[in-house]
Amino acid sequence: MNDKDRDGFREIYYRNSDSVYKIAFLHLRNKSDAEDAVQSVFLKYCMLKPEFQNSEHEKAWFIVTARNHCRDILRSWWNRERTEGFPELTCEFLSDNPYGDILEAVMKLKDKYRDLIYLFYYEGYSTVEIAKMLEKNESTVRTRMNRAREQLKKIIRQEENSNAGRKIFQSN
Amino acid sequence: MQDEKYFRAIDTVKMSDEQRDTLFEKILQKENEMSSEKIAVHCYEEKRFSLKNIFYPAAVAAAIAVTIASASYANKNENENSALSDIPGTVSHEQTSEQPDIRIHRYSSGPSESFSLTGSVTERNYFIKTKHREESRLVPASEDTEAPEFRYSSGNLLTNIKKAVQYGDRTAVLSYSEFDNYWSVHVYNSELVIDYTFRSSNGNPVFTLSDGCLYLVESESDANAYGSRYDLILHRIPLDSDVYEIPADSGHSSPETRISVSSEETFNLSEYGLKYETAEDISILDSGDILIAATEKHSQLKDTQCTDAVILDRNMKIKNIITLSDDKHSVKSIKIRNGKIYLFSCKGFNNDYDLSTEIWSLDESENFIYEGQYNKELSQIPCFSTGGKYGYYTSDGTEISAYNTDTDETEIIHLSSAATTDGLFEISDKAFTVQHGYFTSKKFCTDTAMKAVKSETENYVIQTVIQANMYQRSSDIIHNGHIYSLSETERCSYENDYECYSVTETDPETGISGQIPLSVPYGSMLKSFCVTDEYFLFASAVRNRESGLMEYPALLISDRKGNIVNTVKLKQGYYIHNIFTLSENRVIAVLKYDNIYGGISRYLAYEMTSSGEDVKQIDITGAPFVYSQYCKPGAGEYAFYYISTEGIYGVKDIENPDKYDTVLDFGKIHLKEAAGGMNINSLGDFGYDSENRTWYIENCGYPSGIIEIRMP
Repeated sequence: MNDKDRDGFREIYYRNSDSVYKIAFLHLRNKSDAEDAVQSVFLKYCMLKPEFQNSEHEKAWFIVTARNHCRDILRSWWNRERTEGFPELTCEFLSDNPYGDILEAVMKLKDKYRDLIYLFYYEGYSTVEIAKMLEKNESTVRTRMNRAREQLKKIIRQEENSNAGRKIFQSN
Repeated sequence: MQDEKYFRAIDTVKMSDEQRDTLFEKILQKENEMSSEKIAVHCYEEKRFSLKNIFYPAAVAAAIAVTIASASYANKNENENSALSDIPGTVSHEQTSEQPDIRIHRYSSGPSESFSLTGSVTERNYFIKTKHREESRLVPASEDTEAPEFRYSSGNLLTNIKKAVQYGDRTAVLSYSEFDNYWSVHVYNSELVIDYTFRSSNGNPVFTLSDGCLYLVESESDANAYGSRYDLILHRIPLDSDVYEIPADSGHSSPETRISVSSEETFNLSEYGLKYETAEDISILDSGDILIAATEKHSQLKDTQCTDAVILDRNMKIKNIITLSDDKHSVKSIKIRNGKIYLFSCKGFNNDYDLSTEIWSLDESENFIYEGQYNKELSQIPCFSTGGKYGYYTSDGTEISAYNTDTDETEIIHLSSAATTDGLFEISDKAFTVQHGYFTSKKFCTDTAMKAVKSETENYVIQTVIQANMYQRSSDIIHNGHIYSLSETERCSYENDYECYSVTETDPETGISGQIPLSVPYGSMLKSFCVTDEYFLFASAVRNRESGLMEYPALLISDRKGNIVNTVKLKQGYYIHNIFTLSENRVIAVLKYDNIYGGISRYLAYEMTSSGEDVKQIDITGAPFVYSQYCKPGAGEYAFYYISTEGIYGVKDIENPDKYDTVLDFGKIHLKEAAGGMNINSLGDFGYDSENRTWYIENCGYPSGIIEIRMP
């Protein structure tokens, strides 16, 4: 990579690494794996050198590639077989986080719902744009969005009830 | 304001500036290495495999272990680039002239659920097996045959393999490029026969091989001001290399360069008034009839999608249409066995997997007879199959169902309803791949787990274990034929000062299991464990009572009744990455140090006696790029391999107990050098074929492939 390429790559990296990291963390649920995923996605970019039509195309490519990469990792033999990682680190991150309960709930969603929540609420894509990006029918995306919201609320409610119960238990 | 909360919650997940900068430098460095790679490769669109069946017997293992440990190349370049070169405890070896023969088989895509390599890896062939099918197939890896890379004329790689099927000596692979939405079917035996690339704009295409033909159904959509038009097109393409020619210049075809073949037949279902939009599956009956599960997704008359099984005769004329008896169900998958057709269907929108199965058969006049339906809300599309059985899990987690298509009986494994609270479980299908099969499931950061054990007798009779309100904390351990699992009964944290862990021991023969409660020191967070005849050894983090921060990793050793008999403090700042038994009196704990600033993660191997006495400590960090590491007690209990992206570390021979204390050798096979510069970045499964004295290691990063190392 020459200096010019490097500068170009640097710009792309700093434009997209945050999104890729967020997607990776939400899927993989720990920092180390998320960092590895960021590396892999950008290395994939270096290998493929796709030409983007515009910045939206670029962003969408990184989002979809990150999502697919994380799914691959989660399906991989190694991931399924390895000893439990460090869930307590993530739990610690969540417990120290003022939005930990919501984040945990988001991470508990099925992939198909979690991706939508991320794309819709964080990236601000419309359901039409999400449908195009994920190659789904718009109605499918809208249906899934509704279900994702419902599930999120349900999980958050369960967490609140569970925490309330735990407090009562501890006070006794 | 809930919406705002979601945004803020996700926004808390971020890298620090320093973390991001460091990562950038690492990527640049890695990219530099990759751009200089020059290797002869054989490329296959192939992915998942595991090499469980090729591990060798313990005695052989030990012998091989010695061979490897003492092989000269184990320390090739040790003093030049090795991360171990300055680390005490590294054993150096004498140089000999013999070098390993190393080959790289690279395929261009990452892991896929479609494949698993479960058979033996022979001379140049990989037996691969699709996840949902029983039969194995051979993927040739002949050194003499330059298999083409699966690229389009645009140069984009096909990055996702969706499905592979075998017909005679032909293997067909359906793959997909996530970048430009092209699909491709490659058919090959010893060489590529068909490279058929197309763009299926609406949903996934489906295909199968039969009668010497490739049957492919693709769907196209075209929306304009007058509405949408959908075409569901069936192609029948002869698997004849004389018919399809591959362009000589590149060996790859593309939509632009594809050669038109007159013998290709197509049938557009929409031209015959059928409003189907996507195809879910295709099968060819013995009679040559073609069965397509086709979906009309947006029926105006129903509030759900509608899928039929459309039957065409061998002349591609519509012969019959089976509409499911439950019109809210859609066919998702077709299985044919013993003349009966199993239509696995799902209720509702968008694959929410409320499944049922309708069973149809053919009478003598080839009429389709409805035989019945098993209808239970199920959680997944058929997720395992073995020996003519297809299995499902109920959505509430209370049943595991298996159809035995040989006997046409449904065998149902009943689980405790207390085990689950909702459908969020991830249930593995390991039950049919390991000696003592089992299902496990766990929920993230919460307190529920479910486990079921299957006998070895293929009866699908659940023999044990339901643990209500338990969270399984580690993979199961099998020791002397019994299965052990570590669970916590509550969400343990440093705040909760009470007993919350237990070990469950199960005898898979009798199904009897029992729980052994543990009384662990305050602040302990147990992660993994191992078992000897005398002890349980737990990898734990111990936290500070005041701050809640982890103080040090510790090895907690308990007797078999759960009483802690020793606590071994390990190096501060590290976590116990893994722990396992080397022998009855030796354990290895692998510690990992995570550099929070994005630097190198360091790994230490602690060898200890099972009562916790220190034997040896070795730094086994695979600098500079450690993407994934794990260790496993390779052959039986007698060898220890630690594979990093840098190389294979550490092989130990403890066959002879007398020699045990003196034969701990951590040599190293330098993968990176061995692979001639191939970008080794994320290792998957690995195995050792003792007959051929060959290691097989999966590199599942990008590009993925198999590293084959033949011992001298």
